[in-house]
Amino acid sequence: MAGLPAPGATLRHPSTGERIAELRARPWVSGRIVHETTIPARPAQLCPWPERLHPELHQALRGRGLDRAYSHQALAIEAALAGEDVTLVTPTASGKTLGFVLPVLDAWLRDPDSRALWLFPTKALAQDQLAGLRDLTERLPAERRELLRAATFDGDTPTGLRRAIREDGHIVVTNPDMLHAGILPNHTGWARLLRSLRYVVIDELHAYRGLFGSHLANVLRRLFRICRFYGSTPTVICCSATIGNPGELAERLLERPVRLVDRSGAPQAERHLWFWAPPLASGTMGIRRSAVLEARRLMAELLRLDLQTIGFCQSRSSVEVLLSYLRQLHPSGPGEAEPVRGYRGGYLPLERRAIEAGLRSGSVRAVVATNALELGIDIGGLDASVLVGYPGTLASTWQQLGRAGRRDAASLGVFIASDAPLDQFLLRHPEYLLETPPERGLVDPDNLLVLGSHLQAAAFELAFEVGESFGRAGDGLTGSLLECFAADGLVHRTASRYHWSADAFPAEAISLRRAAASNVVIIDTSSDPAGPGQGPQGPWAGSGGGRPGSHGRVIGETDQFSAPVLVHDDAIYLHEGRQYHVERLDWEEKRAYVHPVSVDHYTLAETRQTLRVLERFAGPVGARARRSHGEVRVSRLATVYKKVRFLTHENVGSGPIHLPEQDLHTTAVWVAIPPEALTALPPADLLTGLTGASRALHAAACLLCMCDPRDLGTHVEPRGQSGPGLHPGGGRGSGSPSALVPPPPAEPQEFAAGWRPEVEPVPGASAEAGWPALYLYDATPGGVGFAEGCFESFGDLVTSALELAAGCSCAAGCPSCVGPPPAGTDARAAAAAVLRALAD
Amino acid sequence: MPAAELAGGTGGSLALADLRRRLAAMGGLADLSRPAPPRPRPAPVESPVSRAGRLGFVADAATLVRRVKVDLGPFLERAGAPGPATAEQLVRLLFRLPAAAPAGPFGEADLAVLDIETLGLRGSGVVPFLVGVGVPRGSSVEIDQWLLADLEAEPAMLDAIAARLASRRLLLTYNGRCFDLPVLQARCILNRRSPEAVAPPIHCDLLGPVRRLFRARLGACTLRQAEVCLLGLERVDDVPGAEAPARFRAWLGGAPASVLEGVVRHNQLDLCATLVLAARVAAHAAGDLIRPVHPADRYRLAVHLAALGMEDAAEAQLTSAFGDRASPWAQAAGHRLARFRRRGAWPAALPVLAELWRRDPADLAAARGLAITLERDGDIGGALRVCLEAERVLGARALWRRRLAVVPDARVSRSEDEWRRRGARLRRRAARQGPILLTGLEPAADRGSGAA
Repeated sequence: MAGLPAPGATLRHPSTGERIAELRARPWVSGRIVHETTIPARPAQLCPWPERLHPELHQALRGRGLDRAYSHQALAIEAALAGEDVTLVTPTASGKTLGFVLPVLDAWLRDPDSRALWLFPTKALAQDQLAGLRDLTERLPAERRELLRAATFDGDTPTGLRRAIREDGHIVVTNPDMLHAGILPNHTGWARLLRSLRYVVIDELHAYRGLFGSHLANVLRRLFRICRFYGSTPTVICCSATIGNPGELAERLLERPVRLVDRSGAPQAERHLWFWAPPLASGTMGIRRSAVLEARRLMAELLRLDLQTIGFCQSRSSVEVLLSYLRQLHPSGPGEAEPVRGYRGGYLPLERRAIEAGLRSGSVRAVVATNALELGIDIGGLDASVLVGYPGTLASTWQQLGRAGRRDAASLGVFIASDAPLDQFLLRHPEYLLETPPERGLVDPDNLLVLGSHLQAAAFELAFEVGESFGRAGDGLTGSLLECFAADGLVHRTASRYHWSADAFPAEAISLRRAAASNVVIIDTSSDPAGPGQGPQGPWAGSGGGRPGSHGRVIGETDQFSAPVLVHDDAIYLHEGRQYHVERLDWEEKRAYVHPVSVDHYTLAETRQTLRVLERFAGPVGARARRSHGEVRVSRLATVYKKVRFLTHENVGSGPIHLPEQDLHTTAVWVAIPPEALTALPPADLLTGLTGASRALHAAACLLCMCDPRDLGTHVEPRGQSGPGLHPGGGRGSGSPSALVPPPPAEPQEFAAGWRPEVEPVPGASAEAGWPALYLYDATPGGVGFAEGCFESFGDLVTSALELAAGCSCAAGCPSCVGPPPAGTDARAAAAAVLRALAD
Repeated sequence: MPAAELAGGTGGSLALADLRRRLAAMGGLADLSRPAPPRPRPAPVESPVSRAGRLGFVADAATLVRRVKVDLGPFLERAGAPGPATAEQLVRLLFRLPAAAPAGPFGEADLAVLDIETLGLRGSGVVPFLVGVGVPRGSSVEIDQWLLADLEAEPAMLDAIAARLASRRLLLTYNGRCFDLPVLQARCILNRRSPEAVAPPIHCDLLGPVRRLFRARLGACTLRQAEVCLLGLERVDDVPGAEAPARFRAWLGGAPASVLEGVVRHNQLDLCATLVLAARVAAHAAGDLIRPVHPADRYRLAVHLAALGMEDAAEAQLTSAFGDRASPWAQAAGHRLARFRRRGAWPAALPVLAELWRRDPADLAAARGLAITLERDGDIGGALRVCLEAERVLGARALWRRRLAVVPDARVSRSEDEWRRRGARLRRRAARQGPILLTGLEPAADRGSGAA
């Protein structure tokens, strides 16, 4: 392995730093680097292991050669030992694991009855952790070591073992889904663990954002509630990669104060960071050489220089493409292990373990991976990390770049920009990547659907006292929902408590990865019934979906709101890079039947969208443009679809869509702009400007909220929700925020009766009636906090959007910034004008 | 409930209708309610105690209990059981006791039978709303049934059950290992009581032996199935267990006593049936087989008895199963051969092997065992006779393989080689011995070949 050269060696292997410099000096390399920076080496900050740790642990650590702790480890351990909840936020491979392993082992050594529960977002990660634990426990005295029972408990655990784990497991490693559907609903079987639960470890905290995080917050509410029943008060230790608000996210998930430890004491050698622009393939069209081809050349060169490299691709198919390129260039010698490996979801666990071990030992010289290797799987530090395209979030970017980095030798990170708008933006604004604090993790534990379903599960687990609050949901909301369930016959209210009285198993109906219960299941009718993965599994198990008749394989699902756009009859549905033709969408049964095809076009549905504000939670605020946050209903009607040819994007056909209008009831942030602020904009360009601004805001919001672009929707209203029909809300009940009430004529018939709040129109309450408005809404029913996050950081959002619009090199707008302009208009200028009006 | 009553509390007020509207607008929660939700009850209703009184329940401290005595005589007679099962019979003939179990002898005063009716089927939230405990009194059973008229009375009910079971060392159930007992124990934990209180030291779950003995004839081994097929008892107007939760919810909602009547009777019948079934199955295990005898019964019984350590009784049943030539006789023979092999009792194995081979000369495993045993005993003529027959079978098979162009797998080739070597060896030995008699063993006429 290329390490530091031995002092005094005459014929020495060049150091990693020297080899990186050699590569940098080549003309073809230097021509492509548009920006580079060097992150200076950081020395280790060491301190002694906390005195309070059990003496046997001190001995084991010395045995492992770990005489001293990094400062962050010591801080986190001290806090955990003192019973404080801790969140440990440090880079990849900085020894976070010891931060939670040591307190857990300490508790066990002092009280062999004490238990710990470790949560990891995926099964694969959970299994990895036991190996790390064993590494340390091996150094404990043999008679101790043999008493420790640590095991993973997940869907793969054999039935025979489950009982033993329930009864005797000291450390139970599992995932939130299993905790939710396997452990909590059967908590009496886990009484021994829950009674003596001393620590709960939540690793990869940053994975719990948006909907998944909102679910986890409720699962934790249930866990803590059950723990209270058994009389245990576990200390929680969270670990997270770098995100903007780790402390806030942890406090939101745990609903209690958390001690944040975020200064890494781990050493880090010098790191070089290159921003790589693929050369123009055709000057006039502005098309650049493919990022994958650039990665192929660069990684081949890194391999030749014997620098152990990881390449991150954005899709599974590009992993395979790049992998086959590299294997052609670097075939394995006869009898040699394959030096270049792929790593992505879909590989078998054993294969993955072998690749991970190969990376650690150095026998694997290069690996091409998806973000599957981004999460905390231990592969040690590599010499170089090549990002083929922007991974979508700053947090992921740093996580992936962090895979390269050793304690004692220089390392290299390369970001190869693709053609996508954000990639090009980052290439022009490297400071954004280098200086902006990473995105924030946002959750909304009180999303009504999420809260409601977990409340059912909680009522099943333990009767609710009258007046009890479910976590911080509040006793009012908790009580109201329970009354709702009582009216439905799900719970029975006695004088003092709500008892579960239905013969259903509520946890089974909840999938932690989605909100609404009714989704459209997508079924591949061509698949071999004996093939792998048939039948409803994972998130689809218990969804009621599944096989139509005797065959068909569930390949995915989509929410009811998006279904008319994605899987209407005759649509081309793209899934994992494969094309599927939708034979039939059975709207009643909520099933779409598809079969794989290979055609040269895709379909694009056109929709007519309306949005109604139902209730305002906050705002309006702002001196001129006034922004608010609240509940809205988005109605979308898919009208026609177009067939669009790949590459040329020409229209090759179209057809109508006959499906009912879909309503999405969710939360949104909206901003109304006074007409006088837009005087600079020609009235004809208003809609173009608003649309362009909404696109730029959308891109910026996805960055800010660390979410998938599909998790947020936009809507523009050139004339605002004004007109004669607007009844400015005067609030209802006591002290509730004012509500904008939709005009009665526009009200769809089915909602007309009995649910529109009765309000007295208050004259002059809403000055922004009739102003042009922009909306950003959560695409999850009920919202998961993205809109609220945007509302809070609206200033930053507008600044980023302006940079995106202003920084583009196109003439009047392109898909990379504000969208292609209608003929004869300058969309970019119009959007910038609108955004400036927002910024005022 | 009027919305105004829901207001208050710190979480802000939310009207029920508004909440429902918002939930529905978001797509709604999963539909967990079963069809036939409780109908709205006209007020005023009788108190639960008074309604339960109509079913014979009386208030006892905080619980409602119904005590009846049922004569099992007619049921036992119909089922063909000689009498009620004694505790001693149960532990001797049906169950293998754990090592830590208290030592016998066990008497009538040790035995109790348990059955519960619940809301839901799995998880810690399953509420037992009707619990029946029966204690035998000669050929009668004295049944106590506790009804959870108020969900708050659960702790009192659990205490009463625990008191009733306190002196009993043996608990008899049907499927109680996976259901009744775990449910009660979970409720004990939830109500801060020791789960040990409802679990007597020895738990005899009748499902285990019934499944072992009668799987072949019962299929799904439900209690209902066992009653019909093993006891010849058929219930009239029974309320299926699956209906019980809905009926209890209706009762909670104020429905009259009649909705629960069928459930209470169902529970009572379950208890009686469990006791009668135990008596009949114990008699079956003692050798008085349930009639009509299913072909697999003797074999299964032998396996069961062997598992309990009653080797001689097991052997007798195996011999008898083998003698009957009933359907799993080959299995029974295989079982016997394995036992002979373990003991090295080759002479005893010989007739079994010969019988198997006579039945089916194409059974090469039996032929091989027979040839080896005969050769070891020095009966070269007999061994050669078996070998010739095997060669004929192999030859016919090879012919078919050639016709169908099938390539034989390694196992087949090995077997053919072995027979070839054995044939050659036997012929050499036969030649050394001079003329031999190929008699004594003839394949059964209907399957035989008359070859060689």
